[in-house]
Amino acid sequence: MSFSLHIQRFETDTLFYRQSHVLRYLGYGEGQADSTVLSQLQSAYAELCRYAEPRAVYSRLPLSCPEADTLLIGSLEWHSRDLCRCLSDCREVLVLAATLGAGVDRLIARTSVLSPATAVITDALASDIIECVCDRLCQTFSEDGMRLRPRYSPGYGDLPLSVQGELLSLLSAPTRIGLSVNHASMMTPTKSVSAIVGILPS
Amino acid sequence: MSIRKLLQTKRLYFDGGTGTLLQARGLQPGELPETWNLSHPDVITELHLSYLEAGANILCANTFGAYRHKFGDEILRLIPAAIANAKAAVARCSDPRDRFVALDLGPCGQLLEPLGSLGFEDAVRLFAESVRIGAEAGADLILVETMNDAYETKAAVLAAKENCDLPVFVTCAYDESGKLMTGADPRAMVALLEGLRVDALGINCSVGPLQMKDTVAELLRYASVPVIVNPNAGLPRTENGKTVFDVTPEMFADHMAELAHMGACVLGGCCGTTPEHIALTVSRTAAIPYAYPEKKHDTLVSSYTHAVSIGDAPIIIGERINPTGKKRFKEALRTGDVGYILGEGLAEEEAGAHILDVNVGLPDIDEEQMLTRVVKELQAVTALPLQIDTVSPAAMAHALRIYNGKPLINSVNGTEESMNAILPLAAKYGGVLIVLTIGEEGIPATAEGRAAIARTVMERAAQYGIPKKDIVVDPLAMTVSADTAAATVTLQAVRLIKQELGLATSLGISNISFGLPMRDTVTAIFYAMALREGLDCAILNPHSAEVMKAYYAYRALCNMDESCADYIAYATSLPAVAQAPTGTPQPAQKTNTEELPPLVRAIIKGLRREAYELAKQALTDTEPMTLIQSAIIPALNTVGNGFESKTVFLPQLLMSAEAAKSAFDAINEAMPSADTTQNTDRRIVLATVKGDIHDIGKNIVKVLLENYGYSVIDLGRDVEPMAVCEAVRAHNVRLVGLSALMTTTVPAMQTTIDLLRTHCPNTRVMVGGAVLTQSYADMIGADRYAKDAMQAVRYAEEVFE
Repeated sequence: MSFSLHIQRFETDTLFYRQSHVLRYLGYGEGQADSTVLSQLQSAYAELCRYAEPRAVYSRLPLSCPEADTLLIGSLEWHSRDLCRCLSDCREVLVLAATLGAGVDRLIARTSVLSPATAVITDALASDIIECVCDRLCQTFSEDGMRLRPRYSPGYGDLPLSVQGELLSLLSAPTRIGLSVNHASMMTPTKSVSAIVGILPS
Repeated sequence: MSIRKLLQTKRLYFDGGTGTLLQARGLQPGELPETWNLSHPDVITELHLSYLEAGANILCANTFGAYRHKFGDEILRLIPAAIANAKAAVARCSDPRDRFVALDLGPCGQLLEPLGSLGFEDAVRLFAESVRIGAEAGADLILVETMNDAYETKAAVLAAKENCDLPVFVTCAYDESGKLMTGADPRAMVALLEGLRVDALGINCSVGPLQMKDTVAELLRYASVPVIVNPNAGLPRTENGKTVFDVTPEMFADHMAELAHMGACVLGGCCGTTPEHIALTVSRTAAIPYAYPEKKHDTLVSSYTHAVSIGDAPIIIGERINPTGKKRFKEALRTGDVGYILGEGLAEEEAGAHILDVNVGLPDIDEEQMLTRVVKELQAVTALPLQIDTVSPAAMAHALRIYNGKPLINSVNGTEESMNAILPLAAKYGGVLIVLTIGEEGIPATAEGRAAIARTVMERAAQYGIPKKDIVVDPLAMTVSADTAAATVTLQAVRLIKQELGLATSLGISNISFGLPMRDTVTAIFYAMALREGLDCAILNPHSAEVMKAYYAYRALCNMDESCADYIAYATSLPAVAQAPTGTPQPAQKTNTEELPPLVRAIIKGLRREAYELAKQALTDTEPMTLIQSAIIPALNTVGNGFESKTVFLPQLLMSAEAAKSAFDAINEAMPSADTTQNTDRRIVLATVKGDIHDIGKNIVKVLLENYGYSVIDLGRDVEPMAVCEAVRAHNVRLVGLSALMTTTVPAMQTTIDLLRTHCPNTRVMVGGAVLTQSYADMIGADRYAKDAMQAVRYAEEVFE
């Protein structure tokens, strides 16, 4: 069986965020943001783009679900009724991981010393940007004609966060895109997403 | 013949990829290739043999990820089996001469502190065990490869150096932009790795040979040791269910020939390359003349991203991270307030420093521990290289060990004691030495005497293998008001050391004007004079406008500043600072703040500089306590209440907190004895629990608590439960705040609370963080769940009432 990893880098001028989502992370309701915070959002975004090095690695792999709560992907064996349900009818999956890179974590650490307000805004922005990077990636697969199920990440439903390490290791994410997990299954750099996406038969 | 010797005279070849070839032989996605050393030894040996027959001199044993944290005790069998498989191939090969087996060390798969959780010494230990097993099993050399982080590379190289005498080769994975994943460029890596005395260095993986050209050129430009090039066969794609790479053996060999012409000394392949790629590379490069690299003479210091070259343009070393004569700084050291020190460092960076001097020596603190901590934390927030400044050899040793890059070492002098203590450290860890011209009889009165000491240290350093380029001499600027000949002697010494010995120079220039009025003017003119004598670096205060004017003007006058652009940019930035526009005018807010006192209004609106200036003004006729009670506290309350009633949002709350903090700064500057912010009775310990590396929430709580007059002992993130207890006991603390972001770290929070209950039964615990809820907080036995930062403040008020 052959298995190939695909690595994608994203130009920083293609990064975008959803203003309404970022404002929600920051606690604002509809129409409550003033011009000050909006302009801070703009300048924090410009700064983030200087530090971000967005990369993704993904692979298309066959899936089998021998039991209602068991799935096999490559050499991985996971137990999750919720994910099995989400992947019902799928015989293949995309396994993917994406990160904004170490520079963004450094920027946030640095900004925390200089201005906590800016740090909070930068942190919220970065969280949304990495989601958008993943959405964009999945969208390109859809445009290539794949019919996809929604992204599903470790920690959702009954899929434990602890499988995160296996997922990243399958993708060689530590060497390919510099993304790894620590002993508590947290991804480092922190502004990162890992996920399984079911591919529906065409 | 040894591989080191062989490399003096001929080009050597590495083998190529294994992953794709093993997959073709049945390795499953996600299956660990190292297990095949035991389960399929014949397959591994066959693969090695095919590379030997293709002409490879160096086989990478199949040990890329063979570390204890992945395999446990199994590494005791896997690594020797891997070496044995490779040796078996050498024994079977038609011509076994000049063939070597490398213990292959890839990344350990975890990110090191401060970006990740793995401690530097833990990483060293992890690599060290595999090194010992591999050396014992008969490896001929250590190959550290595919590294994408400077710090992890340093850990692996130290582990190799400390646990065997084998040659150490290092290749890193630079991407298309020519950098490692965590930011280091080739020049920074050459500085780091040659400082650690590796035998050869280079690039592997990531991209194909063509895209590597610029990075290889950069490595060749700076490296004095042989450069290794092991590219991928381009990028993978799937074709008819098979993985194929887009660079054919012919194309690969053509590009490798080009790199050999440029001066690459060791050639091989990485992902997607096959014995055919290597065979063609060997035959196509055989006739290209070989030359061992020439010694390079650049004086380089580095951080984890870039190197600073000493000797081209004047280098500014910021002097402000130093407690001498600074009450607030000393207090920060005694209370462990590293945040203050980081702020000083970042302010120097913004003012134009290229390198930061770090001195945290005080008689009544544990300098070794504090220096290590400050160096680590500075390297989490600034990419500037550091100059480690201490008189304690033990503190120096520890700081050099954990420093991420190649630092300046401040200092060694011409006494036996100093040379015996410091030169071995520089030889082991790498670094550029600052040599103070002090001998057994003190500081010579003449320039010749000072140059003689510089020569002595240079010669002694050479015995340790420390090259001239790694020495910068500081011939000592002495106070001119005490001896009016002091400046001229120092200036002569700068010229002499530069011209006669060919060494770079540095001076701490501020001392020259001690005791005189208009100190900055004297210092600045002395600086310009020293630059004219050839001074390369100066330790100075980058916030001194006079000194910085001299710096920019000198560069413009000496043709170092194209179109005088930097000078003009600096000059135009000046009036803005001098006249201090008190914040940009803000559009009218919904809250009616127009008729409030100006300071209250500035804090509510979050205008940092305005709040500072207004507080300063007010202090001319108002008592500090009155100002705090009548303006700062009411302003904070207005914002805090607004946040609780959801008319003010987090960014605004924090902007107001920053503004209030700068008002407090003004008060503290005006009367350092007022001690308005450091209330020792109202101490609170904050920590993000073990395993958790997200600290933004904890930082928000800290800022607000400090605003409300609490003294926060911030233990940082990923904090051991016992460390929380120890801090609580050491400072007699009544309230602890713990933060956790993810479900996986809530158990660590529970452990911390349990420990606190046992050891510090009178201490209250509040918890917060994205994953927490009231029921979670109840379950783990916290005293209070704080939904947001204001609730943490309110609970603190209850506890300390």
